[in-house]
Amino acid sequence: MLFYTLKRFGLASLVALTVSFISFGLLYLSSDPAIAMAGETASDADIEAIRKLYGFDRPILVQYFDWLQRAVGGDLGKSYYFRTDVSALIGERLPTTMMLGVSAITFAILFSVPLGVAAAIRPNSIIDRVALFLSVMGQALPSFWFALMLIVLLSVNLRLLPTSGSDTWLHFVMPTVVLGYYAAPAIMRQPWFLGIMRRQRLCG
Amino acid sequence: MIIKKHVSSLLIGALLATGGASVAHAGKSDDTLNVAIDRELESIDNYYNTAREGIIISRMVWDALLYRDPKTNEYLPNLATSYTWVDSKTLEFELRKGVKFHNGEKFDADDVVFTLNYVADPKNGAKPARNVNWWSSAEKLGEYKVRLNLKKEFPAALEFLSGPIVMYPNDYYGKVGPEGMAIKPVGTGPYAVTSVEPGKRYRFKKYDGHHSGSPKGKANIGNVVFRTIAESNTQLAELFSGGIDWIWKVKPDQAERIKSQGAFTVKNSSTMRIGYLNFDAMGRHSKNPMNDVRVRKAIAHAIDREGIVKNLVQGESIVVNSLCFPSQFGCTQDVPTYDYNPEKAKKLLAEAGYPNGFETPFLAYRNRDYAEAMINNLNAIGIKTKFEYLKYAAFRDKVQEGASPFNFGTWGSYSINDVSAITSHFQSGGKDDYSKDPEVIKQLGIGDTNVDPQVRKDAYKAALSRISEEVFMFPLWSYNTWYAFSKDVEFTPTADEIPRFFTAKWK
Repeated sequence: MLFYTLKRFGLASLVALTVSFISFGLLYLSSDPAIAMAGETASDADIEAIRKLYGFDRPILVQYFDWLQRAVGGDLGKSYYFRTDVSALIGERLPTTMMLGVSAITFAILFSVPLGVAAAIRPNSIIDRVALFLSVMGQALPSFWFALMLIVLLSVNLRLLPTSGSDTWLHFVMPTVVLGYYAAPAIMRQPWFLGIMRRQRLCG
Repeated sequence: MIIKKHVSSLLIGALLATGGASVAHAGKSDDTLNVAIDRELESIDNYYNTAREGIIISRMVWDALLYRDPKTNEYLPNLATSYTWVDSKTLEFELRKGVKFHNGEKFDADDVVFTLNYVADPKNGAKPARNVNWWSSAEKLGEYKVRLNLKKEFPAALEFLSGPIVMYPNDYYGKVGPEGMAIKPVGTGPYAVTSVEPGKRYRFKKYDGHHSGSPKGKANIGNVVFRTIAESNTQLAELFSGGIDWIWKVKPDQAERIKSQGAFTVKNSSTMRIGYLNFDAMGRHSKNPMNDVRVRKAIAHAIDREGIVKNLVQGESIVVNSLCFPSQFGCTQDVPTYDYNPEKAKKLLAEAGYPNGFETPFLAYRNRDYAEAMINNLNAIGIKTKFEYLKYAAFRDKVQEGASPFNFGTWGSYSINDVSAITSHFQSGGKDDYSKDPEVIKQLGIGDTNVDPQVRKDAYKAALSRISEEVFMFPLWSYNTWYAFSKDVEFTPTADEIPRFFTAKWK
């Protein structure tokens, strides 16, 4: 067990290291990051100043290991763009992301579990057909299209919900429905629903 | 991603068609103008951001010593009531009395000296560097008198001192620095900042204490809110649903359809940005057809600029014949010009030894559709292109390394109304210069270092004429911006692409 845990931990660490190196390298893949940060109107002096300020003039491996050393210690450094702590920036945005994630999963479960169970209890019934239809639609419908349609209908035309932002619970309604509906089909058509029902019938 | 983009466009079309236009805007009723911006500002501090939105906010919240009138391009007194060129490298200013910052601090020479010396110090990392690296020091001569010592002759000094170089309160900024100013900005401008949610939302309130001598005038609209909405279709949806009152950089096809709906005011304004073709005239990249002036002239005659402006660029854009924007000081359109004439172009190519045309690399980083239209024009005279479409940073790298014999670029001159911000940038022997013509460099040098306006104009005319004669670079057209906003708002855009919300009012 211990050996297995250590093996999995080792593999996970290798994966994390590889992903971090690739992600870090992507910054340099298309062009000089100093130019990308400085923008179109920047002079050579501006770009050079950014290069020195952020250490872009050092070899890429030196930059990577410097960042890695600090990241392992919990210091994600300062944002190149905002010049504030990266962890603070993540912290500012995390609550909204978490809220959206939790609400979307909750919606997906509340929507799909009752429907999935009802469909499993009554195979080939209208409920089963409706569940199948909703499940197939959910898989086939591009979520970005569904989102835009909801915006056009509920926000622009009917003015029931706000278009964008995250200030109130109303702002979360449409994104929750879209993300939740995207996740719902997989839950709704879980084979274990059917398996449980079948076993219950066999056992009488 | 391409499919997603087209579907989004079709859906916005549906939105426009189904009449999402019956809106009632809350803006006027609560005296709040809601503005959408598409970029997260790295900092609201004027000296620590390079975004266009930062410039807009800077004009609202802070004042400079002078102010350029966007209609007449005249430099008017603002925080300074007068200025004198003591010599070609020394400026002195008499400052306005009775001005107060938003936090109640009194404005005087200490603020000017502190601000200018602080931002000019490279250790403090003010950006962009070109805004702050042309003076060596500022001195206090009296409570309301200062002297600015330039590093060298810099006639565009007044242009910078009338816009991007704004004055900070020395007591406050000395205590809080850029980090503090980024959270709680303080200036003397027509609007005070009431809250900052970095990168997300900025709120402004009319400052009733704005000095009465200001050429900006007092603000009319009580409150302004800037909201970051990165996606243009979301901005449009917010405009239609009443969440936003004002947007800009609207795509031309969307602008026309919004206009036809009649529910919003749609305006267009030319900008200082111009498009150009750059040629490897001196053989910096290699020995290639672009080295020959007849080939460059042929290309100039082959491009249907009027057609591209009419059908693609549209709006208030115009064909430009000189490597500058017409309103810029020193710019003249009285230079050799090239009409659209494919037959003449073919003759010139034949004279140059390319009767059947040739193949050439062609680089661009934006406006792919305009580039493709030009490629079609070139194909018609036998020039085949190996087209490369890159991100700006990669484009700039390649051009400045001398690896691009023929490219299509644009330049906005940082909204500086002076030829030195564009022509000198490209033709003074720097990294973007593919011709390095001694005569052009000499004339630009005279224009850039003389404070006599007539001497400058004559020198710039000589340089611009030579650039046109030899087609070292070929200017194409000016760009434009579409604005769409609530019918309750009275707003006039300006060519420098700096919306002045302090002049906007409710109807």
